[in-house]
Amino acid sequence: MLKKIIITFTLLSICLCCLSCDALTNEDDETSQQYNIEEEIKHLKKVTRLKTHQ
Amino acid sequence: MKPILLIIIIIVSINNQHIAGEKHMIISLLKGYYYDISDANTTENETIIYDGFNSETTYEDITVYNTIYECDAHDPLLSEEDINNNNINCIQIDGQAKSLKSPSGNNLYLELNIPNEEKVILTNEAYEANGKRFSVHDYLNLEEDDIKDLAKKEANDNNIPTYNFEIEFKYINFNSDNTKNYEFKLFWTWTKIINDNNETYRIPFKLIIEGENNLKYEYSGIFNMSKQPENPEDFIVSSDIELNSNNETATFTWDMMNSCILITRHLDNSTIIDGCSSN
Repeated sequence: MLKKIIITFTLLSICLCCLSCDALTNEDDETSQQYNIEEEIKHLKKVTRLKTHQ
Repeated sequence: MKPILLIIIIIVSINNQHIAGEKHMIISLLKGYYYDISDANTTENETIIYDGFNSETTYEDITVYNTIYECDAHDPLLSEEDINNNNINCIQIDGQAKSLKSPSGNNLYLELNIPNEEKVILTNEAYEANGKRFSVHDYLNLEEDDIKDLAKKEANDNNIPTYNFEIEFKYINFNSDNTKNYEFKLFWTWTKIINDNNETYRIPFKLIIEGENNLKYEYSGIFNMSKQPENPEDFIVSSDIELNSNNETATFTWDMMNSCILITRHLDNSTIIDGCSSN
């Protein structure tokens, strides 16, 4: 009985671990496709000057 | 310098004054350019689909000018006499101007394109009163002052003390490989009070920055001014914008006379861009 419990617990841990890994992976994928504030600021800095005359 | 003339510097890019023959002046955001209308061999007709502030417009029979000069004087306030009495140094550069005029001579579309540097477009000029729009596109045979009078009459007939003037302005900045760096669109609307010198300004704008991997950063807002500042150096406008990454807001400030941008995050008052402090 104890052996069964240990096996079940081990399997459950592995499953939870996999789910967690999957979630992390998805999160990473999502982040790479989303806007990032540091990146955005870097791009905004392209527009420091808008000359209208000299 | 009269304040209204400053507006002309900023917006009205075409000057009908001529120098040394048939050069027409264009003020871009960065430099002063002229296009030579006397070089008939370089003109051709083409159609342009213009992606405007609120709509898309097709312009046909645009005249293309391939002879462009960059000159060391480009002040639209100069009179013809001033220009002729000053030695203006010009060099011919790569670039094109595209122009469409109405039969009465109003500018319907004007574009200046300098490869690897910039493109400037001015179009959609109109007067508006009592909800009615009097565009140079609709009154092809009327001169601009006559179109303005239509708007003023519309306002007077309906006891409205104001009328509006509108013009659309697009500036595209290119990288050195001629890919687009950013695009800045302005829809200038200024309200004039009849029988009064006071004017107010409402300037919706859009700023689109090309990022890597086809990611675009887009910002929009409205610059408002209750009246023109007495000191031209104080021609500074601000608007809230929303950052694309996290929807936080920031203040976007454009110091027109000093040609610089300042952006400050509301979250912590930190400065994202300060193009003005190095002046």
